[in-house]
Amino acid sequence: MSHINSDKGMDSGEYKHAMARYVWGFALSVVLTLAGVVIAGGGVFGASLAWSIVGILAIAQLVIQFWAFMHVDLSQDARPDLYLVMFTFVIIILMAAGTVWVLADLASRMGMGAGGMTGM
Amino acid sequence: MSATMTNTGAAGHSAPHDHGHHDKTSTVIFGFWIFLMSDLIAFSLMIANYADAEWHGIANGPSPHELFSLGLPTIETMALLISTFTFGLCTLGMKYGASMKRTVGWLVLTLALGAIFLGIELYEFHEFWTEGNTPQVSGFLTAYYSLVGLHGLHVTSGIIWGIILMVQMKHFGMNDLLKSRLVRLGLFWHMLDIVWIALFTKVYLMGVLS
Repeated sequence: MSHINSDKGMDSGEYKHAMARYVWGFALSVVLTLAGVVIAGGGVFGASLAWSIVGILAIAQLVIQFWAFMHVDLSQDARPDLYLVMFTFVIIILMAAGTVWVLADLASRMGMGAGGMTGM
Repeated sequence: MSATMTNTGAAGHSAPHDHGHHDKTSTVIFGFWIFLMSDLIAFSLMIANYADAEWHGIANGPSPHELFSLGLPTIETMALLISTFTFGLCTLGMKYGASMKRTVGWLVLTLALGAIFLGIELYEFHEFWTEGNTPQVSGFLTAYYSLVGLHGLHVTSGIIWGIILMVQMKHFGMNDLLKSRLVRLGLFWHMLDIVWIALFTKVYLMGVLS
């Protein structure tokens, strides 16, 4: 698990292989970002469908960047990082979704309506 | 621990002296991972707070689709995305024995792109502010400035950290400690781009759709 030094040089196959991962990660991220902008700004889909699509594109890009740039994958070396990331996302889902749930419930009990104050 | 050392040995490092060192570097980097993930949780709760404020906290202020357009934020996003890639090229080359000049070159380009990102963000803040959309106008605007501003502060500290590392490299030359620090700054920078995916999508893309 050597993060900072390799026995091989920049002309090695190992370096080119590692480089390919960065290039793929970057290219896919550019494509997904621009796709999100076109879908959100283009008005081809209805608002709720477009909302869902850009959400899925963001999650896809998130996974790709963890894989390409932060080297999280299914290999034995990356296992501790992978478990840490998975645990973190369990916490995030519980806490962030829980927060939105509680605050939205509170707002509806305050008579602000589930859809906000726009109707008032 | 012993399993890790066996793995390191199997990877082809001959000197026993190296094993302990790599082990320590790995431990330090994993410790930094734990900090990064706790930071990610903090960001996720700021996003949850923003999601609620955007929903119920418009008050008499503008709603997201009245405030945001996609042009500048898209350029901003591209600058940060390119910078996370160039930082990858920087640390990857460093690991495979690139010259310090090459490593510093990619680092300078990365930090410059970070500065462009920050410049666009501050320009937008200034525009909104002078239009009268200050944080005290509504819960939504408070949440917007604090969420995007918190990310901007992280990028600012990343740039300062990078400059400090370059000064250290110039003074001490490249050594394993500085390599380890550069890898950790790289992880920090990559995480900031991952956070920005969520912010760009939630604040701007979903904002104009609201």
